[in-house]
Amino acid sequence: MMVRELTVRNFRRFRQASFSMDEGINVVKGPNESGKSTLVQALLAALYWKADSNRREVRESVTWGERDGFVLELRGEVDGGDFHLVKDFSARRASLDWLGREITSAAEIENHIREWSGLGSETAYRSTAGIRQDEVSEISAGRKELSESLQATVTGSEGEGSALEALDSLNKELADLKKGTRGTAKNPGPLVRIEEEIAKCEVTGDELEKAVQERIKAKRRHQEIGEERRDLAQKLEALEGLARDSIEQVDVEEDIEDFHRRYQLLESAAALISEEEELKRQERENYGSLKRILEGKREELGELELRRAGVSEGLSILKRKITSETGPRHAVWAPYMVVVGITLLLVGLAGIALTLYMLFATLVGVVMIVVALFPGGYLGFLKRGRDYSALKEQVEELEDTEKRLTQRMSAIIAETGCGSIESFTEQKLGYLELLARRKEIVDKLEALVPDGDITGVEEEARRLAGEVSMRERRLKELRGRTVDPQRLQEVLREKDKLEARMDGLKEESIRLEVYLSEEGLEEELLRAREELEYLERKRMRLHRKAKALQLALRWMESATTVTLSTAARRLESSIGEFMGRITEGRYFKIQVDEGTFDLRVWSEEKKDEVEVESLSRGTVDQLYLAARLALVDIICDDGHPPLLLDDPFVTFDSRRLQKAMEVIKDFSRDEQVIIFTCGDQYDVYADRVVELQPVS
Amino acid sequence: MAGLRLLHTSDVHLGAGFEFLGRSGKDHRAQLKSTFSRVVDLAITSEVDAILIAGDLFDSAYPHPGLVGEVLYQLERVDAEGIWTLIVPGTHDRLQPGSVYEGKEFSTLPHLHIFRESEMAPFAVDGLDLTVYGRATLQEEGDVLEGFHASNDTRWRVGMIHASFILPGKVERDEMMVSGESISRSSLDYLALGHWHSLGDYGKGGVPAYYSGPPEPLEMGRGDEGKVLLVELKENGPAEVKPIPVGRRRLLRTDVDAGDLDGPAELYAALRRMADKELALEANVHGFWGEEWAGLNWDDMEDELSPLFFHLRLQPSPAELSERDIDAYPEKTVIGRFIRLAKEEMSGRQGEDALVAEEALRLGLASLAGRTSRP
Repeated sequence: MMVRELTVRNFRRFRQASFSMDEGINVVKGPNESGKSTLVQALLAALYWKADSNRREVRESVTWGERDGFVLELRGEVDGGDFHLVKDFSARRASLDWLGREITSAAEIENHIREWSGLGSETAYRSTAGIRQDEVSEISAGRKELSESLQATVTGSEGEGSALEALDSLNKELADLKKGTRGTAKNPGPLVRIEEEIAKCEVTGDELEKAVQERIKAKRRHQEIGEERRDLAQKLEALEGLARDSIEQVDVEEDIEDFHRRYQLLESAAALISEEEELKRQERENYGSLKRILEGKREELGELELRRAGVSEGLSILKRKITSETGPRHAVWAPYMVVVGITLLLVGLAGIALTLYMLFATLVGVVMIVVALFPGGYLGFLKRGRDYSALKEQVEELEDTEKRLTQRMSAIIAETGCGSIESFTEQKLGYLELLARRKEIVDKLEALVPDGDITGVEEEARRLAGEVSMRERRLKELRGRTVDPQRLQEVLREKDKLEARMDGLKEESIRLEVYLSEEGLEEELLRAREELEYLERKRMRLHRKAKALQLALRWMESATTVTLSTAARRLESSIGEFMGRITEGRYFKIQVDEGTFDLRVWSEEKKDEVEVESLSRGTVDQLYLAARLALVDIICDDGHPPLLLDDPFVTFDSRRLQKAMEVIKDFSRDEQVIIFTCGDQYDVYADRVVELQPVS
Repeated sequence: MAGLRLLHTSDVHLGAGFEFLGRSGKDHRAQLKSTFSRVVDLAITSEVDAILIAGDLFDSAYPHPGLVGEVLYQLERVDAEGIWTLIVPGTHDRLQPGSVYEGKEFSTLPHLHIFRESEMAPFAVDGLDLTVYGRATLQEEGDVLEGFHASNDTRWRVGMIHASFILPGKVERDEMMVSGESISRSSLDYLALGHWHSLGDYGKGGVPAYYSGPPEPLEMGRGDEGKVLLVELKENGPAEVKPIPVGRRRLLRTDVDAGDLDGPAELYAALRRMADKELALEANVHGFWGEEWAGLNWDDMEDELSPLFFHLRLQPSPAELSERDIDAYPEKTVIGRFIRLAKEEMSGRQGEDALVAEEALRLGLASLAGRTSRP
């Protein structure tokens, strides 16, 4: 493929420009800012940019101030045939005249370009058929190994990295990601860390889930309790009604009974009142004078009665004493024995003078006296004879007093109309009995009518009758709503049980309400779930990335192995042929390591392989260029892209430049070469020089 | 009374979890409460006669006390204005033992009625010459409005139901269903529907029937704002149904064609232009391919852009390599062989495997270009 002419309109700094090229070496020369890079870009845009693209790079390539898009035209030759490619980015269409046919299909045009150049994209073109200034200068300055640069070229990426570096990078990235997944690591990788975070979050979530479920259960339980309490309340109400009515029935019955009893009492009170009235009348009629005397001379009469009673008592005592004193006090024989004794004593005493035997009679007389006085009690008898007389006198005195008192009492009693004390006493007793009865009645009435309102008794009795009637009506109302006392006890026990159950439920309900009033659990659970979702998504991405890295590694290893080994074999023959030609057979045999692209050169002089480093700088430059250009052929297969060189030998001295240009010259026999430069050093090698002027 | 003004909302889903929003879920949950408050504000300022909540006010039958308290507070505000609130329990806040509507919390509001019946039951609204028919949501077969006919005891007759609309061949099974035919025979002046999360007119036979959709969006979709419906029933003329935006956030799932973009920087710029602190964006990015995309780290880009959105998720689609894409890389280069191997293996992959292969391709290209995205 050869470019004959490139015409640009409204492309960046070129409003309208046309550049002609020839086969062989073309040198595009101009100072900085004259548009060399723009020309390279225009050429590549003409080849690879899509005319209907909206990409920013396309949009921003229109010359400043121009409203329409740019147009690129490329005329050239392929295999002896002319082509004319037009890409109108304003009209968003492309056309290719080729072998007398106008092709407008973008895909078909792309196919032709790829077939002619052997390269399908601008990136591929730049990395394969474009040799940058720094690419060569880095090798010549020893900053980069020749093999590294070749690896980068065969890698084909727009970057400068090689496939081996890419493999290292992928391996490192995967290792970092999976660090700690097969055992413990001091600083575990993201996969391990995310698993730990998820595990924590799941535990928290499970706990919260359980707690929330418990709360839901609690709410349901609370509801059940509410319903049970309502049922219980209804049952309790029924039982309480039954118990209340039954108890009321008993109370009413007791009330009625009480009212009856009180009614009877009131009837008794009425009878007592009546009796009291009668007694009052009797008192008035029968005991009027007695009452008057008793009221007027009560004290005197009382004193008289007291004294008389005292005198009578004294008399009675004295009489009993006299009676006891006048009873037999000595033996019956004692007086006789005293008389006999005294007689004998006297006789004896008189007879002593007569005879001493009479002394014996005296002694007998003495003994008889002694016996009569003491054992016979006659001595005491003689002594008590004196006391009896005194008693007799006292009795008489008292009998006189009694007589006087009796007379005085009789005088007073006579005023009552009683003929005697006895009748007085009898009347008085009757009166006192009457009074006692009245007192009894008064006491009873006090108990029956405590407020003393005896006049209200009848009214009260009527009221009680009314109450009884009312309660009897109530009893009728309660009929059928009550139970008998025995059943009532069962009802009350059942009610107690229900109340205990109710209390228990109430307590449980309060506990649940307190538990349910705790805030935030549901929100915490939702947040935990949301956090878990966030973490799981992160984990999914990390796992995806780990799998992707493994997959990328597999593809990369396979692609690298196949590419490097294939390229190495072809490189060996291509470089050998190339170097043999330009070194006139000095170096014609090159060995390329298929794993690293390290080069070894056969030296005919030394009859041995030598390291590249041992060769002269100019030879190394030639070797690199030979290898680099060989790679263009290898990569592009049957394609022949114009070689774009961006002032690659700017740092070379004239000798090195000459050696390098020998390689380029050789290459340009088959391929078009376009060198972009600021200087004149390539002019002597050029088949055509295109001069660019700075654009103001 | 010349007419009646109603505010129809449903599917508020207070207390819902938003796992798809990850750590932003809690903020959206808080927003639902805030939006419900705005709904109440709107009801008060619009001087509506009643608010119809057609199910799923809560996301759970057992919401936590704080949430119940918030709703109670908001309903007290409308109650104080003499505005009626009518609620049907939905599929989420289902009527069941111990559930929120069985509690005593709402029994204190004189202008609140909750339909707990298992059949369409009438509720005559004091002072409005209005009967509202509603029922709790239960698992049922068939058309729940079949045979239903509103009586003409009052001037206005409105229905509320939380059910799916039967669309033959599309929607034929759900917990509760309602058909166009039964709606047309219902004699209702308006049917407030709930359950479907998008606004829609399903009226039939002159009976207006609408899904209001949620007041705040609940799932990723078209990025519409949440709305409520302001319904004007007029003495002479058809009902006027006006959607009023009340939602704050938009939840948008969209496809981003990266085919015309030069690379991650342009994708970033394209997404950056969509940035909105109230937008949750799930961008399904496709059409990216080539070395210029090699250095893209989705997580990094997501992390960088996320603060500009309420929530952002970037979802790459597996690359589909054409022959032209592949031919751009010479086969005799490592990259050319790598891409051809990738293409060969990717052709048989689906789903997650395809995504893995896509990422492998991108990571490989990145490593070849000397750009790595270390974890």
